[in-house]
Amino acid sequence: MNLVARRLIVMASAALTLGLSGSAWAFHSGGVAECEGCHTMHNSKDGNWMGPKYRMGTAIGSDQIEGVNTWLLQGSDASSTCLNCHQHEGDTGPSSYHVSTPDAEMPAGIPPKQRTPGGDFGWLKKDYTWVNRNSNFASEGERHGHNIVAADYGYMADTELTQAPGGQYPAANLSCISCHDPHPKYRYDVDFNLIERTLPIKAAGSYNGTTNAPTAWGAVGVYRILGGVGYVPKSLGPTGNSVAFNAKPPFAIAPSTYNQSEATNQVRVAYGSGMSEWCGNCHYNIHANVGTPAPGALIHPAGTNALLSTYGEADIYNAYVKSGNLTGSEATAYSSLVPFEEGLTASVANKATLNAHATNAAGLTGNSYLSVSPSANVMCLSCHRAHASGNDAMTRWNQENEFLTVADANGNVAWADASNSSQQGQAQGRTTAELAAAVNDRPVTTFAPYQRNLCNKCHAKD
Amino acid sequence: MHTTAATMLYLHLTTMAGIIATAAPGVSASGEYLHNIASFDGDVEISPSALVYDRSAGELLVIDASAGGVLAFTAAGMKVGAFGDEARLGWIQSLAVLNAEGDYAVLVSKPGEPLDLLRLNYRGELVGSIILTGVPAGSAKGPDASAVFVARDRLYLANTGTKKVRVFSKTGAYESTVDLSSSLKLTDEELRDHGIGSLSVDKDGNILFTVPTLYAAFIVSPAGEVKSFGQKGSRPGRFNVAGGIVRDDAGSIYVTDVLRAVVMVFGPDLKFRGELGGRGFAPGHLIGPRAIAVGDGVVFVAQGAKRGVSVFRIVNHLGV
Repeated sequence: MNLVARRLIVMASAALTLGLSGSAWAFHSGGVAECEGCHTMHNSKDGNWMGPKYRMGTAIGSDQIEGVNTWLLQGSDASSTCLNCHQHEGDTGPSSYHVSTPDAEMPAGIPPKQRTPGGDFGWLKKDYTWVNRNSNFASEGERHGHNIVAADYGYMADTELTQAPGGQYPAANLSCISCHDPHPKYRYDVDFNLIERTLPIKAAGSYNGTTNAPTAWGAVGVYRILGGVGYVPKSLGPTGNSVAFNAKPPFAIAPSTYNQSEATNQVRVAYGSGMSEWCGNCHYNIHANVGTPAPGALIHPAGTNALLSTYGEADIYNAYVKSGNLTGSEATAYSSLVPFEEGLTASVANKATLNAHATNAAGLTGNSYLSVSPSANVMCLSCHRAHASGNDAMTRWNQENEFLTVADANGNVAWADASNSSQQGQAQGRTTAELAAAVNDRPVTTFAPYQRNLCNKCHAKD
Repeated sequence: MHTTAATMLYLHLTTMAGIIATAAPGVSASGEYLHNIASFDGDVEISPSALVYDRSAGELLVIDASAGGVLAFTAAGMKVGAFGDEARLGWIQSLAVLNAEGDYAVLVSKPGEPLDLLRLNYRGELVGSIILTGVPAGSAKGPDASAVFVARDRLYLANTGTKKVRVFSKTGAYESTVDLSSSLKLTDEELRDHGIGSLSVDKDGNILFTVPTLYAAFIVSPAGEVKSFGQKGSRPGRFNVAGGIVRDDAGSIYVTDVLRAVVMVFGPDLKFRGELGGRGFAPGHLIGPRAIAVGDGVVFVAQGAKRGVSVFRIVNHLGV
């Protein structure tokens, strides 16, 4: 009997029984990439249309431009075009410049694979439900990050927040190029002046390698080719001008390998300045330094003026180890779960400082350098990841429960067990693998038993 | 009754088919789109992570953990079974056909546990673990792989991250390691930047893999001979973002291009012969094609956007 016949018997039996479930690669190089990398040019070859309608010279479709996408993109939309390279099947773990895990590789209970500082967009597809104290709770995937629209990869627009919180950017148009300018005009010259198209871009400006320094003849790109003043994707059309950026790109440096598990070594992106102000391009009304309500309103400060030295937060940051433990020191204080800006604007000297601080090497990521950074400040990314995270509001740690961890029978710190009815409030529907992945695999021993949330890294109220 | 319904559906679908392949002048390879894989409820709308064609059974095995594990289809694309959704097994990441009886070698993982290499029967029932033995010092004791293949009566455990393929007997006795890095002739830093897009092993034990950022595909023979082909570009036969790669029994090589949304066909001489698909949502067109399988003159192509698996019949694949 062949296999198919045997399978049909199995199916029939079942029916009777059941009665019928990063790395810094150089495609962008700090500027506009190869045109053909994203666009399909003239949609022609040797005088013949490449669109499927005209394959073999025979009309086969009803739509004359079937196969040709808006803006001549090679994907169905902008983000799909990006994810053609930035999502990858078959990764065994964090890998190079991948920022999204395929659906088929993260079934229920399995977390997304990538660990970039920005986070894996796959968290947007992880819905969680649980019961606590006889009440039903949910953590919907779309609450876990920026809901980019990428039809080819199953990413849909936010169904609840139809505009950027605190702003007007339309959720239906949110894509990778809402933030990252694929044709960047801003760049740094040899003195780290932010200039427009008056010099060619010779290399990416996001990294601390020796090839990433500008020269008299060649500029370097801005951090993560983020959009600058006046930027708005053309795909938004004329109405897009109302949401055009008014803040310049932030100044920051990342180690050239930044996508890795932090089980052993943390990844420190050395943030200089301008990140919160840049987030304010779209979220101006929830940013204390921009728009309304005015500064001084009841909004957590963030940005250049939100100094960690003002009320002693820098000292607390250095001393804080975990809940109930304030015995730390500056040399070991840094946590990639609560990064901050060093208050350094773009300059040759400050680039050198950030080059030295941006690292993924063992033993080098612990020093906070806060004693030599009097202008260090809290920023939006101190609490949130830029892409997505395993938590609501795309926070770096779970804000939805007072405890991040529990204790085992011996009093040792442990991740909560979702199958334990007394720990569902802490697990919140996540497996232990997902709880660990949500903090980029930092060992659970990094935290105290019944660790309180990481607001305390700066405030130490625990 | 099932067979009759499957036949009727197959006939219905094939009447919708059409020849939609581009052929390279003088060395034609063309393909006829047949249909997408389907169940009795209609098209199966998934985006699988891997496809395996079981030549001995004439079956397509589709791995999609989010859809419940492994789905089995006839060569005509009709669903006839599923297995691997039991939590006790773990998450099936990769599968290879061990023998004509329908036993499989599968790589499975469970949260917080190392990978395991299991032997399942054709129903997906656990037969036992395949214990790896004789592994040299410095090499992982466990499977440590992203994919498993069977060829020349051996198991191939491939880790695309480390760019190493370890070869074992079917019972798990270590034989050798193939370091694909050496075939790329790159510096350590360049090796880190240029990852493997996809990898497969043909029936003769040749390892085929793509490196999208080099716009190239490579073939490493069991004797260590390296061949490469591919050239970047957006016109037919050129690599834009190379995805999956597989070779059929006649020696033709099929490479998916994610950006151009096509399947490129290369002859045994590595010359471009033609391509299938093309971007679009109409029948026979492709969206983000990656995983690919081939057998018995049929090509199966997995797509993004939950577009399922498209089935093409190859015509004149040797260009004669």
